[in-house]
Amino acid sequence: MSSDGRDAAFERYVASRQHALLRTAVLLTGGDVATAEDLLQTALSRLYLAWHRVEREAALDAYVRRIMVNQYTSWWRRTWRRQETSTDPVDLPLQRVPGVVGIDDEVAERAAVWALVQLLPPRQRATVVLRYYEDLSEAQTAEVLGCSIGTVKAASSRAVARLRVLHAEEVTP
Amino acid sequence: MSADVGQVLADVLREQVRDVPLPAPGLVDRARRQARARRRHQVAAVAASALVLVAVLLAPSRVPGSEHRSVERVPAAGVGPAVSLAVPDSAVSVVDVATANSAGRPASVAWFSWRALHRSDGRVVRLPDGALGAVETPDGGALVTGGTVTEPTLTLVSADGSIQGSLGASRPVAGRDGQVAYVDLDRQEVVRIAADGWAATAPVAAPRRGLRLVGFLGTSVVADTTGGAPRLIHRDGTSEPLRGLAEATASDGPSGTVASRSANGRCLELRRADRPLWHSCTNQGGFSSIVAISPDGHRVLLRRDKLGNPGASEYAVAVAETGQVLRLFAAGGSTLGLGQATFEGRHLLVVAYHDADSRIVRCDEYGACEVAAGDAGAGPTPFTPVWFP
Repeated sequence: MSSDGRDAAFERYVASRQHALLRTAVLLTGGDVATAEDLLQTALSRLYLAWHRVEREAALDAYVRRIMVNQYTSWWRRTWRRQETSTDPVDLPLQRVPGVVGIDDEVAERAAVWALVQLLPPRQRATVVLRYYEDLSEAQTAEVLGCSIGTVKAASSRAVARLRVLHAEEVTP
Repeated sequence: MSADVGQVLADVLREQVRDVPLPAPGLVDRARRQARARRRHQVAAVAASALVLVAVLLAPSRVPGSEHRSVERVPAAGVGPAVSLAVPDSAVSVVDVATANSAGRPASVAWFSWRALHRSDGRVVRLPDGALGAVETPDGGALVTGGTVTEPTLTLVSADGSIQGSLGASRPVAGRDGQVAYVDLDRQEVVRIAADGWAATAPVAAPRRGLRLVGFLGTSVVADTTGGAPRLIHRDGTSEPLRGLAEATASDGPSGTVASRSANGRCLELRRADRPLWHSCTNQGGFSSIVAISPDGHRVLLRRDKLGNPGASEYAVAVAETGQVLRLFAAGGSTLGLGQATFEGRHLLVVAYHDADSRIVRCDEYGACEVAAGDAGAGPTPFTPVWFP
């Protein structure tokens, strides 16, 4: 493909997918729109460099998602090391969300669920986003994350188990 | 929820991004520029690696040992990780109005030139004689700095240019959210005018002339003091020292970020919400201070004197969280050097470019520049300095 052809195809792709990809990026970053824009831009810049290697148009989204997950995990690790914050990726505590008590139950529950998703470490959050927002299969999710299907299953079930515990806490006086 | 946790998750996630706006315009161009910069960087890195390899093979005895390595000061507790602030060779851009796109839109941040304050909302407030600087006020007018170094004054000018009053006061600072603060030297009070126009005063115990206001953290004012740590002055009049800092140089209220430098000027530091992000004492880029923080808090602007021309500046954009220098802007063309600069947006900065006249040049962090329209001819020719309050 010529340089002009690549540019035109790249522009078409970005124009058609930028909004959807930004939404995914926002979820991957836990709701930080500014960081999500940076993340998407970085992912697209890498896609541009690798354009000739991505053979199937259907694989473009998967490629961008994979770069976003890896890049954000990398940023997060860097910040985590610098901030010396102790966050066990498996045993994050459940937290009550300040300010949601007294609001309509369903709204409070949804806010609590989102707060829980925000607490997940990046790759576990990515698993949840890819499985439940992007509606990818376990195999597709594993391909994006570069891990085994078993790892995806384990991460998904951990996240779901936490939600069940959260739900149980909310209904127990 | 127990019936179908997956469905609840899917609903919650969709709800969270339902109102996410489209990415900022120009995403394709920014991504392409970032890709090209990355490729150049990779090529430069490969070339540098090859040179190092040749040097090692040809002269192994000259490879510096550990005793020759530059040693960065070991950070004390609470100063954050050390960063180099090195400027990559591939990240230097020359600002030159002769080659810049000349069709840019007007600057969207306030700027001051000869007897006029160009407000961020596009309106121009004419200023009285003797105006040395000005910041915009929430009511459409301006607070104008005047007087002398020993007897500074502040004049309140309304939107139509009429003078409302004058007092002995320090140079004011303006926040991006519209609030303004100054030190009333007669009453020994810090006066903060909120974005809604309401004013609040806080008495200050520090020597009145020893206070230099830097910016805001929320509704509190960051002030440098002569001979002491910078202080955070709260709206109720209480204040507290910003411990561990020698001199505050910039602050950003929404992100809670404060930039500072050491007493000897060699070390620069960035903190957020009282947590150190990084510090640099090796300061390989030779920067004298962090002068601005981007509106979203993710970028900082560093300034250094141009080599061999201390009166002129060069600026670098760096990532706030890591201290990585993304791009250095140096003066080119007929200019002697760059004047003041500040952020116009997350990826954009505006810089005063002085040659026969003064212009405002807008650059993005990938090195593309354009001349901002509507910024020339505000005063007597041929030379009209431009300042960003």
